[in-house]
Amino acid sequence: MTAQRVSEKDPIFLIMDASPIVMLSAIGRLDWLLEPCGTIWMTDMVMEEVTRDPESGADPRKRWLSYTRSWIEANKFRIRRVETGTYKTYKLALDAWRAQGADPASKPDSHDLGEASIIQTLKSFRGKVQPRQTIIVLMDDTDGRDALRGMRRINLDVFGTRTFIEALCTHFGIIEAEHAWQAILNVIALDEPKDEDDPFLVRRVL
Amino acid sequence: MPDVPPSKCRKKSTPELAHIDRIFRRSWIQLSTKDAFESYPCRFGLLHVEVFGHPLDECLRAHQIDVHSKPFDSVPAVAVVHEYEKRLIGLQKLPRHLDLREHALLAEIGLVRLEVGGTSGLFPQFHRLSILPADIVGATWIRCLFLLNQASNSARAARITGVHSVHKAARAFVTLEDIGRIDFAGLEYPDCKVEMHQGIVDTRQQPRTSLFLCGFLTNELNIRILRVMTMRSFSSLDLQQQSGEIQRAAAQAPVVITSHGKPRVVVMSVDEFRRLKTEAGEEVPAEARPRQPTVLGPESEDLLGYDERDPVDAVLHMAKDAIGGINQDLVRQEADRFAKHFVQGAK
Repeated sequence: MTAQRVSEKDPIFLIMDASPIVMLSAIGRLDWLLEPCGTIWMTDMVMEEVTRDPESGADPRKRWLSYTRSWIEANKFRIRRVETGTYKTYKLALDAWRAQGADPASKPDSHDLGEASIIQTLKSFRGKVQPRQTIIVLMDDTDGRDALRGMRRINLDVFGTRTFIEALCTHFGIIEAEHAWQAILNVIALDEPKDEDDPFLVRRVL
Repeated sequence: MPDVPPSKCRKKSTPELAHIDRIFRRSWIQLSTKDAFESYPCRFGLLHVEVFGHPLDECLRAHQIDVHSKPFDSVPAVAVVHEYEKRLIGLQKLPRHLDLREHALLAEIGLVRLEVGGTSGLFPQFHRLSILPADIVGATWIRCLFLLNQASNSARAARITGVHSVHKAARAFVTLEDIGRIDFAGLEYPDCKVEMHQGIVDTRQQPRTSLFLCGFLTNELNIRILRVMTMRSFSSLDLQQQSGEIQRAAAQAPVVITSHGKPRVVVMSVDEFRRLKTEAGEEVPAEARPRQPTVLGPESEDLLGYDERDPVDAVLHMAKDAIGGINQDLVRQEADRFAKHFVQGAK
């Protein structure tokens, strides 16, 4: 079903966490993120997460990293980059780490900083958005979703990537999205290590 | 302290009587000037207090102290609020006979008045119960003098000094720290455990004329201060013109609304109404029940959230759930909600 788009409706801030970007990158369909409203918001920390080199060489994300970077560059005018203190602090720590020799054991931890930067962004939106405006966040991390739902005094709605893809299929006319999950599974599973199933690999290790 | 026959009340022959006489005289002067005695329950016939075996009124008359009693009907009830336990006790429940002979408690609050009283019947946990009418608003000091009885002996005096905190009315609380020391029969009594429960005196919030009950256990010298509040009366005309004042008064104690001079309606706080209903064994109407606090129990499980400590594993998990149709109904519902934010006519 393709519903009629409404241009006169109150503007929506669609804020991305890293997970939907990673998943749609895997199948080369990041353009879908722009389907609902043409513009998305992304914090600098999330942007850092999805464009940096994976720490592990076996991380399948490195396969589509170049696509993610090029897509972000190509759509830089459709992506509102939100600068946050979280990223500034992380960047300072990263610079200091590099200046001290970039010991992998002491690399600054970036876990959960994407979610933290989104929360920080939402806090900064308090009192600045119009009363009828709703802030939409795409986030899959359970703890992050819990944290967002606990926020008061802000008109906020949180969805996951599954919901987003389902909405694309049923409301935004992206028929292809119906098979998105199978495609994602294929791509991810392709990169999964198969130590137990591959006798050659076992022998080589031995 | 021995019993004193009525005749001796007038003679003021003993130091004790002289002391009482002094207190009564001074107190009455203070009371008459501050009009604080108006709230003293015995004046309304609610209490019958004896001093050395004689009714208080008689004793007061013996000391040529005039007591202007009001008829009981004009003040149908005087509420006694147990400040600590938040219990409300009608003074009419007090025993008609309060023995003050050897168990007299003499106290003085501020420059006003401290009356004597003692009973072991009303509050079983108290060996003594004293009634202290007090108007401490503006008072600059507070001092208590207790005469108490030990179980095996005759009355002995314990003097609690250093209770002079009312001029600290800026702080407006009398606390245990304000009790400097305890003299019992002229001796230090260090083993006494004194408890003076907080919040007993707040001169900024109490009505100008207040009553305080003070009771204590002789074995522990457990002092408790109870607040006594008077029941005010308003006319039906006041109900229209002073509704705010009536509400404030009703929050303190039930208020009687009179019509043509006769009590018609009682206005009381919801808390008091609930208490009366509960004590009567009747159901509290839903309108008067306290609003139940919102209990934030554990949130329902977030079925569409995933643990992303391992992002690749989370993606795999999510993809498998999507392909397997797990929680698909919930996903559809959320998708509809999502679309409503962007798309007109979304279901």
